[in-house]
Amino acid sequence: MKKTQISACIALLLAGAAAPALADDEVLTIHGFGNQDYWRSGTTSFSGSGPHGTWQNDDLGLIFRGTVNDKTHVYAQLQADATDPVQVLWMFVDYQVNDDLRVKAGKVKFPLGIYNEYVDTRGLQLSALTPLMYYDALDIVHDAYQGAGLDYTAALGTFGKVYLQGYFGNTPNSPAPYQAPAFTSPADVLEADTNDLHQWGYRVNWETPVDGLHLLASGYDTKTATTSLGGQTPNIVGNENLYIFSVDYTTEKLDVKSEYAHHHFPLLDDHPGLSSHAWYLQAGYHLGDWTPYARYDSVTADSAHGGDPSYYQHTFVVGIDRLLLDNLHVRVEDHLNHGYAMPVFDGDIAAGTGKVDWTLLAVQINYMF
Amino acid sequence: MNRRFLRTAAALAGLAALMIAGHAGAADFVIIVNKENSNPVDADYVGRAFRGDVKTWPSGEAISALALPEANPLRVAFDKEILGKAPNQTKAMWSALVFTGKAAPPKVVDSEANVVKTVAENKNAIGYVSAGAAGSSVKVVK
Repeated sequence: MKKTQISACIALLLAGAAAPALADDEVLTIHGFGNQDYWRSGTTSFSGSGPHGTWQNDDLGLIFRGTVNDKTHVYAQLQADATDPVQVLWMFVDYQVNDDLRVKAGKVKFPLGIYNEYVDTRGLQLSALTPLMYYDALDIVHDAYQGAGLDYTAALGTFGKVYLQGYFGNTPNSPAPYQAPAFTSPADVLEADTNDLHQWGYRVNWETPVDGLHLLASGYDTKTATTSLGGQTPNIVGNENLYIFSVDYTTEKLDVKSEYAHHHFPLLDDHPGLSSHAWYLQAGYHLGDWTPYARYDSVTADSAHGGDPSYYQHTFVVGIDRLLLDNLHVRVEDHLNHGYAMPVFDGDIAAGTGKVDWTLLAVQINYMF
Repeated sequence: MNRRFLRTAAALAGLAALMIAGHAGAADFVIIVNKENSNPVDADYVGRAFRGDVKTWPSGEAISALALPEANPLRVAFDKEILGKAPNQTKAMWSALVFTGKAAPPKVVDSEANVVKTVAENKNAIGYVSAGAAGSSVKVVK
């Protein structure tokens, strides 16, 4: 991270620390978080890690909430990490029509799965590293959309409650093309520029009558124009789509989550496109300030090459969380990996060059206020 | 030997009585609002307000909810009885709302006296204190 970015973030964090979280009737509320990771991998490099380890994975973020009036608020998140400058991850206006209905417009974090909206706030998660399906490199879950959306809450009586979210827009970098991570095979790597034409998405979150049990379904559909690299004329218009099914069971002691995601991305000409899927099951148990946890993670980054370890990864994670101070966590976890899709898709190694079985040690300190 | 046993048993019984009394006392909270607040309030409405499900009084003004610190026995009792959650669950729930841009959590006030003071001064505030701490400057609604 550049010094100027660090300075800016520290100044922002200090400003935030000096302005503690305020009540709803206050004009401005500031919250924030910081994560510092140490990663060391055995034989396969991943996100800068290697046998000597790396401290390069860190994040600093601030969440602002401004009150315009009793019903209207403005939200924004600023963030910087080791590789990107300070940026506005999302910023939107929220209008409360009534207790059950809200509308929002601007750049809004995708309501996808359990974790996407606070994927950067590690203190709200069970483990140091997020489940693999949330990694940018896999390109299953994206950051934010630009457009408008609504949130609706419906009470179902004895059947619990359901939270419905819907939105329409496109991804923030449209209409400027972005580089799609389009892999098909080690010898046939296609790269494509895409423009998101428009997009709609949803999330249904059912708070079931079973205390602590939520069932979720979410997804989006994007009309995408794909061009050859450097080309100007779209030569294919296809639909990129994603759906995720999630189960979240959280009690005072127990935290169990499981999700399945399927993503399809259209490619050039008559190519069938890139399909990927991922799932995980994780569980943790709170023992006072200690929380041991475990997770099984599986990704197939290209279903057409599901038997190639360059395109799949199965990971068993075991770790422990220690709450040192209020909102200050230290975590240590070990990843036992079979396959190396994430390093390939992250650009750390070329397809076909990884070791099938490899380990990753992650140590993390995270804080939020 | 028997005398030592009886002394130990008596001490344990005393400790248990203290724990029971402490527990009973911890659950003994009342919900208070400003004296000028004439909105109908029941336990369900209070729960929805402290979960962020409702943000305004029936009269349309913004609710200003006040919470005691996480370790306060009254907070533990309130979260359990009204919200049906342990304080760590409540904290996780509010953190998720805050960090996803959905709501601001109840303002944490350091003492019962300050809850009473804030509610007495703010027409839209709501909080909880022990029955003996409420006094006459606020209205007890539960």
